[in-house]
Amino acid sequence: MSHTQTLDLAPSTSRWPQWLFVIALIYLLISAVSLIGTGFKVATGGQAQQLFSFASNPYVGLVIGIVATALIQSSSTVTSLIVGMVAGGLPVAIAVPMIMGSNVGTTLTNTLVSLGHVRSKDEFRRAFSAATVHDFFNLLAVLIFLPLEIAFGLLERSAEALASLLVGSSNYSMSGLNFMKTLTQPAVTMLEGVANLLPGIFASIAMVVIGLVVIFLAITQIGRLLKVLMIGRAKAILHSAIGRGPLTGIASGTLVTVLVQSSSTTTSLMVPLAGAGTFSLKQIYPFMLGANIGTTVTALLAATAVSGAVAVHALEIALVHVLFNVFSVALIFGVPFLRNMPLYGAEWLGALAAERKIYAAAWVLGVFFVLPLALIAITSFV
Amino acid sequence: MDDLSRLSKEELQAILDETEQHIADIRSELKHREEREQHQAVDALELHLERSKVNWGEVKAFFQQVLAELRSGSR
Repeated sequence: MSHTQTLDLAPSTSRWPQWLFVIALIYLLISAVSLIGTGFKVATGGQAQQLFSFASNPYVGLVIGIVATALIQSSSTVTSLIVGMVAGGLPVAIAVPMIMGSNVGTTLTNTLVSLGHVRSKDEFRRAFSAATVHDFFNLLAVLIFLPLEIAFGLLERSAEALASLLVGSSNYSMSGLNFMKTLTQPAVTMLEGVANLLPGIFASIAMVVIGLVVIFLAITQIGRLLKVLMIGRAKAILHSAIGRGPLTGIASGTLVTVLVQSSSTTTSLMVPLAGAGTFSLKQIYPFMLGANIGTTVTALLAATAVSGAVAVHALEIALVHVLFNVFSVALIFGVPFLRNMPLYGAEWLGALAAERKIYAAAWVLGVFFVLPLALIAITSFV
Repeated sequence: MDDLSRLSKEELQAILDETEQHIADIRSELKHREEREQHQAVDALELHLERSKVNWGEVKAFFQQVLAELRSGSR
């Protein structure tokens, strides 16, 4: 293909310092997850289940995931934090709705990007539809899988079986060798030393806070660097997906997201392309779904930080994230009736919002803030 | 319609085949142009990446427009 031939696909030798920096940041990310696990365990005094009993209502967990991700604007940070908290004793059952919520919360970023196209009515309609097709899909996924999770523990049981299989058959840092623990120990000890400057329980709370800040900074910086380092490969993947079917779209969305380690980047990238009319809503829709799957790599990476008896639970929650997104794509995209629902919803809302901006504002504030809080209020009193 | 009624079945079939071929050619040309534009957009991915960041100034401008819309609606 002529378009890809012009790309610089070979890794440049002058880029090795940037690659070393990426490796160092991944190392910091993994260390920070380990730090959160330790801090959370000490801070809760091994009573995480009792302390988080308020979140045993799955709707509360869901809302925590939505609002936290919408505010931090990074689902990778929130899912890594959840992995760390599970390593520190948070029950997987409480964490599952939080993971689902983070999937919904992350779609706020591309919706906010679409608001920038407000000056042109048609462009705004296309851009807002492109952003909200992701919202509709993720909301539909929660509507289907949260009741299944409450009733049967579908994701938790599937992830538990898969995690047991993986831990039993490989040395995924969970074996007796604890390879990752040994590797991250110096950084964890250093960060613990900083937190331990504070007295008593504040030290362990500081560990969680420091861990969260380090994860956020590491993920943000990794994303920035990978955008530069991987742009050539991302272009090649996108070029090869043009003119192909939706499965190629899903695969390319997954691959590009794995390369840049940010679903917000890949889904937001589609907004101006759809706004300009270069790609249709139907063409970008599978790409958005691929981004959902690709972003789950970060939680898997974070789970490698955890060793010992809780390692299997950390892997379990990371696999919940993977399975939730794989199952959602397989079910919703696999069934034609369900597949078209996010498309119809996004087209309808886009047309409505282009006529009156208040509908777009109501969607943004309603879905990401008002509705979640109302859900907590309703389920607390009923 | 009068012209068509004078044509034989074979001639009508030939016109239909030719028209269908024309439509297929037009569809193919449209698809080709659409894909060419998409390849060009991907070539300029760096520019689109710049436009894919949340611009809080634009978000603020959007909500100001919403408020203006609400005020004008209440009058």
